[in-house]
Order: sequence, then structure tokens, then C-alpha cells
Amino acid sequence: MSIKKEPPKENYTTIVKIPIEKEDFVHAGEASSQIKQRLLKLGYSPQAIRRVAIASFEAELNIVIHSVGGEIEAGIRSQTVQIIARDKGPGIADIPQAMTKGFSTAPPHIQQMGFGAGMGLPNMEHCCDEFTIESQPGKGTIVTMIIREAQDQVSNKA
Amino acid sequence: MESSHSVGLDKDRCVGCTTCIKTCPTQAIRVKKGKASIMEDRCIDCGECIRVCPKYAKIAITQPLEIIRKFRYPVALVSPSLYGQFPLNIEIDTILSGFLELGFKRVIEVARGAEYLGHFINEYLENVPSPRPIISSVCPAVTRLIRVRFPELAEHVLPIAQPMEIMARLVRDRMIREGYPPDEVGIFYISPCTANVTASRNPIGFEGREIDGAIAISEIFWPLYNIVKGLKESDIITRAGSQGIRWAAIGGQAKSLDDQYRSLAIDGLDHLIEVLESLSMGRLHGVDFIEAMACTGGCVGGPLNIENPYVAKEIIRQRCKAKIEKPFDELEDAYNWKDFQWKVPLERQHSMLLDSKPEVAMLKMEAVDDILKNLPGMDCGACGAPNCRALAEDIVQDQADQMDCIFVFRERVASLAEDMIRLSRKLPMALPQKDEY
Ligand SMILES: Nc1ncnc2c1ncn2[C@@H]1O[C@H](COP(=O)(O)OP(=O)(O)O)[C@@H](O)[C@H]1O
Ligand code: SF4
Ligand SMILES: [Mg+2]
Repeated sequence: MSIKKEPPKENYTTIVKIPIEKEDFVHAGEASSQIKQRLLKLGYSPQAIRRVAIASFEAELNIVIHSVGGEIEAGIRSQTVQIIARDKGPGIADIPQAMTKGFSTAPPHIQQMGFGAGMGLPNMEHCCDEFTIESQPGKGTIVTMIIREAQDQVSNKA
Repeated sequence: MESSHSVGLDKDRCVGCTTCIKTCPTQAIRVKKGKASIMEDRCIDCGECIRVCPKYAKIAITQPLEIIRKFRYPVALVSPSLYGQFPLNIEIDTILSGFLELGFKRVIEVARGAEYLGHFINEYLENVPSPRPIISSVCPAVTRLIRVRFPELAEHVLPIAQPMEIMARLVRDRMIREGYPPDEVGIFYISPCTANVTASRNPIGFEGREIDGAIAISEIFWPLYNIVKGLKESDIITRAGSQGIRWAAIGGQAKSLDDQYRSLAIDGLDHLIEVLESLSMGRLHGVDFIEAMACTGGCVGGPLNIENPYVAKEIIRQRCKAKIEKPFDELEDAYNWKDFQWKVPLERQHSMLLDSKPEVAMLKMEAVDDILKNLPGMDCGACGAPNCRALAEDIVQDQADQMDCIFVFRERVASLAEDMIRLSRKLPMALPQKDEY
């Protein structure tokens, strides 16, 4: 009998799957916006939608800013939303450091655009009920986020 | 059944050209059997379709001026955008006095309500730790847009009555206290837009209505102008200062904020939708207040005005140049934002839902995606829906048919034609075959 290492992903029905290009700031937000619209049509609560919108946008931005390109996939299963952000590299060598509030390797020109405050990953984790990040330097990063209905509201951490 | 909305269709004028379906911010319009029809549960009464219809078939449902005769004591609640419709040589005092000649017994300036609300917003920002930025609820089209398309932002919306509603409540109270019989007082809003016509009937945040009717600025302008141009003396002295009058144009609300608050002033629904998307993704930081107005230029751009919005905006600016201040009296000073706080929270409107049962909604969404694969993806609108996805959703909801798509239809005709040719070659064996001729 074979043992699957990954959780049985096929339980989630994919509602959005779109490629994200490196440094494509013009379209950043597209995945998040599409996921949000879908969840609205499916009757998800405003609270869940807000958390998904924030988490998926930050994930999208990280692919745009820090990776060579990847994709965002959102799936749903009874009252639960799963967002997976995959990219093709360069990966994160020190994950605890990347998760630290305020830590960022974003170059100055990106910071001038108002990105790179080092709050993306901490915010994503905060918005989710389950958050996992796997990364192999040289290979790529996979962030998996689970958001369930009927959670306390998160307010906008402006 | 009477519609609760203020945008209607003149069927005889509508030619089914599909111009309006694309500009609707909530995708609420479909062209069916050659005529535009509005989905009631999606319409936010913004009046965008009134503006774009080339045949003037989209109409505002407002009341005629004669309606005020139904009441012994009609009161005019005047939107400050009216002041932008008159040339500068006609003073605001004179414009307001004209209403008395038209048969109104009192004239109330909504601009004064704007000054109260400006004060309340500062109070609210200072005392209530609700999520920032606060989104202004002055424009009811914006509030409705949020209910339909951005329910996740409901907690950002300012839960205080809009200026028109504040003034209606105050004047009714006062007149009843002064001994006027309640049934004989009729309050009429002089409106620049359909959104406020609807809001006067179904106020956002409150159960009962205080306003008895709404008359379009375009309806009242000429009768009023004819009176006003000959008026030598004014019986009314304006109570509102420049600060409130400025609210007629975009930027006016932001100007009422205390200096320490940072605000954005956004006009036009398309621009606003972009900003709300950003906010929803947690991308908008360091802003305390969003002045959000559906119409370009703010209320001077409302679809029921007669003057060009840019000209009207400049007239308002000129009228406010003198920076006239009218301090609050003791009574006014005592008002607190809580006196006008919403009694009913902003509920999401479920009009985008595919189905009320989540499992069924999901099945429908999959069906929509399947149907979409067979549609051309050109979003041409010829089917009467604003884009291919909307048509696919309508098909799934049994509101439309694949054959409504002109491309699918053409393909089907082509394949039928091919079948016919093929069949025509297959004549019964008993007859002489074609190539024998
Ligand atoms: N997909 C990714 N690929 C490579 N590095 C990443 C990725 N996502 C995040 N990082 C690293 O983690 C750091 C922190 O990320 P984050 O908290 O989102 O802050 P920011 O994006 O503002 O830098 C980034 O600066 C980057 O070094
Ligand atoms: S901006 Fe003003 S005129 Fe336009 S819909 Fe909103 S309230 Fe009415
Ligand atoms: Mg980031």
C-alpha cells in the first residue's frame, strides 16, 4: 500500500488557477480578485472573503516580487477555501527568517513602489486557519493556506 | 407591482442596442426580446444607464412638481448641487426664495446637513476604533454597490445618516413640535440623481422613511428659474456656509476633515471599484477616510442635473470662494453623531449568488465553466448579456439559451446547412443519382 505524503488535494474543487508572471505588477491582484468574485457567487461570508482576498493577494505579490514566476490555485470544499501559491524558484533558504515581521529582501526600487514592508508572510499566516510553507532553494516555494468559514473577523491591519 | 427602484425603461424608445448593458457596474441589465430589462435585486440606482442610453429610453422615476399640492405644508430639501445649475449672478438666497413662490412653505438646505455630518465624521474618526479607512456613505449608489459587490467592506462604511436624511429628520421633528399636523407636512427632496430618489424612499440604515417624495432637479429647474430671474428681494438667508455647499462637488467632504486625517476623494464608479478592490486585498494603507461619489465630479455630475458637471463644479467653487462660515448655534452644537447613527446595519445583498445552497452553487459554477468553453469569449454583448460569463450564468439559471449567442447560433446553422447538403446527395436509391445527369 502506498502512503501519500501530501494531503489528498483532489478533495478540493478548483475554482481559480492562474499563472503569475515575475515582476508583472500590472496584473497583480487579478488572482485575488477572481477568487473573491467566485466566493461571492458561491455564498461565502464577507469575513471569509476578506481573509481570502488579503492572503491570496500577498501570495500573488510574493510570486511577482521574489520569484521567477509561478501560479495561484484556489479550491473549495465544504465551507473551506484552500489557496496554493507555487513558484519555480529561487526558493527560501531560511524560512523562520522570512516569516519574521518586517524582514524583507525586496530591492530598493520595489520598496519605492510601496512594497516590501516584510509583512506579507506574517499577514498571510494571520489570515489563515492553517498555513504551511515548503521551500527548496533552487527549486521553488509552495505556500498552502486554508481558510474556514465561521472564523472571527480579521480587520484591515492598516 | 411598483418597483422600489428609480430607473425605468421607456419601451417605445428602447431599440435593444445593448449600449447600456456594458456600463452597468453590477451587470444588472439584459436585453431580452429587443428591450432592456433591469434585474431589480442587482440595480443600485446609480443612473449610469440613463447617462449612456443614446435613445433616451432609460428614464428616472421621479415625481412631478404638482405632487407637493397633496400636502398643506410642503417642505423643499434642497441638494447643494442645485446651486451649480444657476448662473453666478443669481445668489443662493434668491434660488432658495424661489421655492416659496413655487408653493413650498419651507426650504431646507441639505448643505447645512453636510456641515453637521462633516463634524460627525471628525467625531467618529476620533472616537470609534472601527477599521480604517472609513468609507463615506453620503452617496447611496456607493453604499448599494458595496452591499452587492463588496460586502466584505461593510464594516468600513460610515454608519451615519446622509445629509438629506439628517435634515429631513430634524425639520419633521421641529415642525411637529411647532404644532403642524404630521399628516400635512410633506418633505420633498430636490434631487440630482436616481440613487437619492431611491434612498429618499428606502433610506439606508433606517427602517421608516422621513421623506415623502423626490423631484428631479431637471423637473424643477425651469419653473424655478422663471421665478428666480425676476425676484428682486430674497426672503431667505442661507444658513449653510461654504463648507457645506462644497459637498456638491468631489473633494468637499475631504475638506471638512480635521487636518490630521488623510483622505482620498474618488469620483466615478469605475475609479472607485478599483480602489475598493485594493482595499479589499489589504493594499490601501495609511488612509483614514474615503470620500466616494458615484458620479464624475461628485453630485454636480448627477444624471438629473441640467448643467454640465464641469461647469457646475466651477460655479460651486466660485460660490465658495468667499469662504463664508456659519457657526453652529447652541442647539446645533449639541448634536452628536450618535443622534443620527444607523439603526439597521449594512447587510450584504445576495444578488450575485448562484444558489442559496452551497453545493448547488458549486455545481452551477462548474456548469458555467463548461458552457464558457463553447462560447467565443469576445464579450460582444450581442446576446443581450454584458459578457460571455454572464450569458453562461444566465443559461445555468434558465434565463437564457446557448442559441442566444450569435456565434454558437451561426455554427449551428452552418452545420445544419452541411447536413442538408449531405442529405440532399443521399437521394433514395430508386431515383436516378445526381452524377448520372
Ligand atoms: N515566493 C518566494 N520566493 C522567494 N522568496 C520569498 C518568497 N516569498 C517570500 N520570500 C522571501 O521572504 C521575505 C519576506 O516576505 P514577505 O513577508 O512577504 O515580505 P516582503 O514581500 O514585503 O518582502 C521576502 O523579502 C523574500 O526574501
Ligand atoms: S455622486 Fe451624488 S449625484 Fe451621483 S449618485 Fe452619488 S449622491 Fe447621487
Ligand atoms: Mg510579500
